[in-house]
Amino acid sequence: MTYQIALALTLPIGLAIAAIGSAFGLGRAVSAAMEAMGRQPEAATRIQTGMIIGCALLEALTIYALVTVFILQGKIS
Amino acid sequence: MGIEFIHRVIKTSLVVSVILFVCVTFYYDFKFGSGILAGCGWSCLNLYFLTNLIKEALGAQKPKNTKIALIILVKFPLLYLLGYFLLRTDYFPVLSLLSGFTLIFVVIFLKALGRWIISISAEKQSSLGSLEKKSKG
Repeated sequence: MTYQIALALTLPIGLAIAAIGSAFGLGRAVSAAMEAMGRQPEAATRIQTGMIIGCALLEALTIYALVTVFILQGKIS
Repeated sequence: MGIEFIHRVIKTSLVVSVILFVCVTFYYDFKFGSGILAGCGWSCLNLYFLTNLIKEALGAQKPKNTKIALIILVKFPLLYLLGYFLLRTDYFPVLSLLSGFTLIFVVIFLKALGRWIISISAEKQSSLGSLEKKSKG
């Protein structure tokens, strides 16, 4: 097995794992934030800000994975 | 710490990216500097749309469906397509785009660190003040 075949096999799997992990993380973060906002509506703005920063960080992780895939994709052919 | 914290983070990141662009262009390479600027601009736009989306969808007032749809339409296909073209043009080095993209998180981290240090020093000052009052009393 050449390294091109290995890359072609593993890149989509790696990206899928990153996307699934990020989706689970986002889901958990948003659900916990909604729960906290429901319990303490007076702290909603603080919770929302924290949630936005968390969402941005989680999204960034997926984007890093996507960029890595794009870079390595060029090495397959 | 409200939504204005994120707006301040976006403004600070843009200022820092412009300063970095000037420094990197002067000392290293124009393409690398402009890549940092482009990456940071993309990241700031992404955070801005994300903030607006969450604010509209989960805010106190009644959500406006058309505005939410417009934000989703701009953020997901158009902004991501722009990012894809930034990567695919090969004009900007990938490392510079990633550095610019990461810059906003560095700014968030440093701002949070600053706020934490200020809160610690304020706590220390208040506890010292209460001790002085006790010793005087």
